[in-house]
Amino acid sequence: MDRRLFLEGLALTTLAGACQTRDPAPVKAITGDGGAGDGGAAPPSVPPPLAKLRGAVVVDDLEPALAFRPLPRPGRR
Amino acid sequence: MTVGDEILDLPAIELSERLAARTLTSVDLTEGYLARIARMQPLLNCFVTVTPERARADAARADAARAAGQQGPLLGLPYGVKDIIDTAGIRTTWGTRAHLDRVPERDADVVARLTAAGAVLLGKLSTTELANTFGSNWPADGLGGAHRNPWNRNLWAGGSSAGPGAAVAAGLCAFALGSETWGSIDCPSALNAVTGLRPTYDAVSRRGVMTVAWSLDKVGPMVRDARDAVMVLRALAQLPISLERATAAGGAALRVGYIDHVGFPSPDPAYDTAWAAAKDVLRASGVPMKPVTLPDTADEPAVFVTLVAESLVAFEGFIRDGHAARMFDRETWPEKIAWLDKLGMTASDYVKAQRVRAQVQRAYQAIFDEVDVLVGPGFPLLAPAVDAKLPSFEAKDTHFTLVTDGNAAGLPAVSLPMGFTASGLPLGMHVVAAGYRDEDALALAALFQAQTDHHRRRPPAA
Repeated sequence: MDRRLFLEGLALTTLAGACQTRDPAPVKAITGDGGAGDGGAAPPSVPPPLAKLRGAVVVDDLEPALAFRPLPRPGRR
Repeated sequence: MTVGDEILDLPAIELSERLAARTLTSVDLTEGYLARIARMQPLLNCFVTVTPERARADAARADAARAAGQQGPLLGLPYGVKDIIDTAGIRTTWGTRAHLDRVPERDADVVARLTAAGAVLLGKLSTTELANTFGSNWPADGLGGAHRNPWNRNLWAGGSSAGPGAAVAAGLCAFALGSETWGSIDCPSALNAVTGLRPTYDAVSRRGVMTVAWSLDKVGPMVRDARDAVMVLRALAQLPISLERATAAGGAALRVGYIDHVGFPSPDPAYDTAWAAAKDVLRASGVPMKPVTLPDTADEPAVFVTLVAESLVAFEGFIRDGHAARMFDRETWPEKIAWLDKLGMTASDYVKAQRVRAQVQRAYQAIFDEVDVLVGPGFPLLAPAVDAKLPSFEAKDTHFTLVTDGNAAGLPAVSLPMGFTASGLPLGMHVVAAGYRDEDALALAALFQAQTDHHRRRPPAA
């Protein structure tokens, strides 16, 4: 089971695999730090989608961004 | 009068001109599409429901209105809508067996707007189950079977707006409405060689459209020509978006930034040569072009977390009512959920995702201070086979930056035909513009299409 199941952009993600299977390079496992591992046998402690997010620094403004803020509408640009 | 294939394949804007000049009637045009649908539907499976009685009534009403002096660019133009968009009294299945008998009481806002504009509803177009949310990894798992690609019926039409892509390419309607949360207009537009507009987030109403993720969902036109998209967006937009410069001439006045790589291996040698040729076309058109480096953000996990969190809430009732058990079941519902549980997503992940999306917005605002549009090679794969499981995806460097960033930030984008492989499969190009500057993306597409004929090439199945 992988994250394909949860992406609306099925083609973006599952089909990404289509590109990858054209490449004979072995598929690598993902380590907990978000980097590519050595094909490790152990499952990742933190799957890659969350690892990069959790490692991101996003405290550079004072906006209480608890929800998505749509782009400014016309007339308020 | 029998309407021939050469008419049915025309861009919507040219059909509109013929209707306005009264050299073509909506009734004849509609009958032409209905006959073609009857012939092609068994081969392509792009409709979930065809509505001939509704279409004939709409068409007769449109012709009568025109005879009485009414005008309008969409008056009498036949169209189809993705089957996650509600239509009063007409079943709207969301692409799942669990909702085969779901009949909405009222139209989605976008359908109401098209009805008010005098457009003719031909039917409901296929989608992957729940527009891919919690969906199957098998292209064959579509209502009525696989959604087949008119360029090669052994291949998939893409997702999630499969029906709109295939129907527009095969000339089964003048235009269609699709939707995108994360690539669902872009992908089938590229795989079917049609032109798809993902409008700025919130520019087009989502009321009456199945929710995948509230802060990501967009509804937009899928058409045969960028000028068609301008015409349809003008009717759809709930905000006063300027579209005056969305012409080839407007495109020639744009500052263009470009990227050469979208984070994937090239799917075919023709992909690279088509992109190089596309840049040459734009340069020859006189637009200033400069390379742009895209920001390195956590955009992909931010969109992923947002989509998962919001869709789990959006489909709470669907799941609670037991509908999930009636979905295509190659993987069981507990299996699907078990994987999600392992992720251990938290509320702080969701909050952080929204902050990342704000970062992406600011980064692109800085880019759009320097250029008007960003253009790059489009969907980085060829249509896969309909009879196999979609390949697995494990590695992390499969980032389709422009599409992911655009959806994260709510930016408008156009996918349009860029060329074809040696075996005749479509390749797409992707154009992104600043928020509420949909006209800039459309203008660049119009400029490109004024110089090329990829968008006029018709598939063998048509």
